[in-house]
Amino acid sequence: MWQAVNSLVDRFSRMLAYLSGGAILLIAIMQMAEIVLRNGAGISLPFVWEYASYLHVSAIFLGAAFTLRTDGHIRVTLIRGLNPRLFEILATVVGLAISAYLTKALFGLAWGYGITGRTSGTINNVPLVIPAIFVSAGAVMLTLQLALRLVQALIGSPLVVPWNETSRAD
Amino acid sequence: QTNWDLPLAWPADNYITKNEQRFADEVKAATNGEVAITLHPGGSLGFKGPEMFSAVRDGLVPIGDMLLNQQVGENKLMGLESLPYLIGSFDELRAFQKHYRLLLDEVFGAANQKVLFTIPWPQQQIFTKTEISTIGDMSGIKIRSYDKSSTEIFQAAGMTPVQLPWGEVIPSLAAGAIDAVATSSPSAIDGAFWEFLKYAYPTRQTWNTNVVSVNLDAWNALSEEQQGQITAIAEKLEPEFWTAAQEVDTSAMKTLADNGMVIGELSEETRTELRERAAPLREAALNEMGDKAKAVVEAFQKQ
Amino acid sequence: MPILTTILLFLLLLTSGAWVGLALMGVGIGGLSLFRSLPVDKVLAQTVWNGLTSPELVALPLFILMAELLFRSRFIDGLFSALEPWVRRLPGGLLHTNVLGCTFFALISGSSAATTSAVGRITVRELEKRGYERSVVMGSLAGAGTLGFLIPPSVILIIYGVLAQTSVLKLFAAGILPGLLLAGMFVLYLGIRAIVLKRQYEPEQSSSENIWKERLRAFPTLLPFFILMGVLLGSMYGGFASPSEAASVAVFTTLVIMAVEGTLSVKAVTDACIGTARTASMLGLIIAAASFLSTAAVYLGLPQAISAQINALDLSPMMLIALLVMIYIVLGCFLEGMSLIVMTLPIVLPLVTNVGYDKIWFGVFLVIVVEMAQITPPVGLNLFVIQGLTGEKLGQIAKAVFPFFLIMIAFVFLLAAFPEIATFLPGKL
Ligand code: NA
Ligand code: NA
Repeated sequence: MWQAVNSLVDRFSRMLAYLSGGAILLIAIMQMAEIVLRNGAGISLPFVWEYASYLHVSAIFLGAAFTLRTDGHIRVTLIRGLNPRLFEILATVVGLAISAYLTKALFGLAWGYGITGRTSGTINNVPLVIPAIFVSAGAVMLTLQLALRLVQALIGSPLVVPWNETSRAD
Repeated sequence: QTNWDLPLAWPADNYITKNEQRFADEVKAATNGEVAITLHPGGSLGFKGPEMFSAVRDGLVPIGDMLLNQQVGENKLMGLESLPYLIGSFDELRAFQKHYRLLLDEVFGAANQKVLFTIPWPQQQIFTKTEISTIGDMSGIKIRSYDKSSTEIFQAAGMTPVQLPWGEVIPSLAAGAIDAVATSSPSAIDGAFWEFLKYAYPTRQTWNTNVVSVNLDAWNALSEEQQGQITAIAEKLEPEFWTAAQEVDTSAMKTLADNGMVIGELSEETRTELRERAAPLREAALNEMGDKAKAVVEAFQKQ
Repeated sequence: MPILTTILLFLLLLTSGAWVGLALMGVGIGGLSLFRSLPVDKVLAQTVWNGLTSPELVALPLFILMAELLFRSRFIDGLFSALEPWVRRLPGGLLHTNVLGCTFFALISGSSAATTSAVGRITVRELEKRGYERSVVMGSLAGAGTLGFLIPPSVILIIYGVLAQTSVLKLFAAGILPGLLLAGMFVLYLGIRAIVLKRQYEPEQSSSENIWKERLRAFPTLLPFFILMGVLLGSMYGGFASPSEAASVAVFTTLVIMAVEGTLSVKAVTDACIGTARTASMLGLIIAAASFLSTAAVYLGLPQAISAQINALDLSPMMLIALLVMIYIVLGCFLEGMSLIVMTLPIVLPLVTNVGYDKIWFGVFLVIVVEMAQITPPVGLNLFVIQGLTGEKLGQIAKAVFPFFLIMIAFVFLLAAFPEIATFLPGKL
């Protein structure tokens, strides 16, 4: 049961991370299209910059949980040596509390955008609730991953998993 | 003792910042230091753009300075002055404000804030590399545009409006990724436009005004005497701020000319053509804004 | 009182082991909740949103993506084999491939950790095989890897440009000379060191024609590098793309290069994407936190108070720089470079511009102190990268890199004495 929850969350985190990476690739594709069209056909795509910034903020939060799980977020481990297990539990509790607060705050922002129908007010007039939903979803996932990490730290199962980086040419 | 943080997007030496500093100084003097307003120019408090209206509404800051047409995502009515070719001159803008202010008071009042005063930006211009004698000369020019109205007008004039963050404008000009910029004269000086561009044409396709508004909870926490003092100062200074905006334009245009820019004037023919092409866009946008907007426009046009 | 409490909270949360981005947010949340009556959650959400939707930041994940893709191509192998015959006969031998490899790679990469790890993957293995001492291999790699930030394009300079509201393109121009000069000092040190210690790493070659043939033969392997750099610069200066858009052009060029050399695959791209997501997410969370924390600091009157303190000391410009170098070295031991900049900038920038330093110059100064922070224990990103490559103890790596750290300190004062090193090129723009 516990294993199933664990692997389900891990798989979901990984999926969001692919979405995150895809969002960044999409920025490159959009900008490339803009450059080609502008220089080749005299057409400028008015949404590229704005969408790019939403894709960026979404990518950061969508990738956050997976990055935590694969030990990609930086932290200070100065006092880890004193008592590694206690250190991990404490660090995770602190992280979890702050992440939960952040999630609540971002969710509130998305909620506010949703009920007031707030748009970006630019030529694209994007309803801001759309990017805000992706951002809150990423934050929720980060908090969930931290909660899971707390359990893992308590029962002593592995806290991080590798993220497979073996596709190099050699 | 009341301390108010006032965030502004503009740098410390911008005329808007300077004028609002003057307001803060006079408030401090009149209230014997009881109400101290600290300016945070250059976006240093972290609030500076389209979030200003909600930042004041929700009490993130007690008082804020905002560019009206950046706030249209909250309420379309704040984009009224930016309707294409609705207002033709600075004097017309002044006349328009008389009718518009009441609507603004209503919009802000409904969002838990009170308008203290407004400061307009000088007339809009386009700064180009090539000379524009006829509307045909505008065709194909890649111009950095800033809002919906301007983008639509430039498109209607056959230009290629490009959306770029302000930070990318100068490098893009230097590189030649764009050949023109639409903005007002103080920004043209900030960007040393004469290094890349040759001509300045006042187009006045839209107008921009800044509003300084105060959160009503913060306002109501003041004594009646203090409220009276602050309102009096705002009323006294507002006309001076408007004059300052015009003076800034005059001296900025001189600086641009001194640096070798050619200050042009669009031919009456071109201007009429632009206005005609803008008319349907304006009607469509006004329809979207609704009856309150139409009432202000009618009152202004009747005058 | 708010100041002391906030600093305590800062130390507490950071050493608690909570992830830097979250810990920094915690400091701001705590400080504001205790001392100001504000809707703290709304301030947090809005500043995080504002910070991360800043359009100038978009180039950041794109440069990361490019580096991740290059990582999966034969780019670096080509770079190494092209440089090898050029430096083999210099005193210090192939150690220079670390410095020159990093310098070249820095010209297309925006980050110093990416530079260190990309170059180190090849050089560490090769140099150890040929009998170079591990300590100086690690030291020169860690030192030179930091050039990734100083030599444009540079993620740190982009972030500084956004926060200090100054031209990124000018900052890029400002980084070029100092970057090359610092690389030159590293090369000089490695050469002098080899002469003083009488180290002869490579066997004498008999014929000099031979080596020239080799040197010239190496050029074709550099082709991808020149193409990438040409496209990057050409798209920017040719008027096809704005500086941020140029990053996208570079991503596409990399994909084309990989397709030609046969290293492009779906797996390579998806792995690069997920690697980008990890790095961008890590950096983004810290940037988000730093945006919020700097707002919180202004609300609490921190920048104002600290600059009043330092102003009261009435330091000469040079003394101020000396004080700042000291403070940054201490902070840099514990903080990652990015957070170092975003957290101190609101306080420090007004101080240095007040005594007459130029914003562009200060950007270069900051990059160098951030580079120093990358190589000081216990928290130093480049040290971690090298630890990952060699499995050596952190203390050993830090000791190996110490001479390079001293060179960088000397360089900072050189830069303060002759600001033109940084301001000359941007002045020409
Ligand atoms: Na670089
Ligand atoms: Na460090």
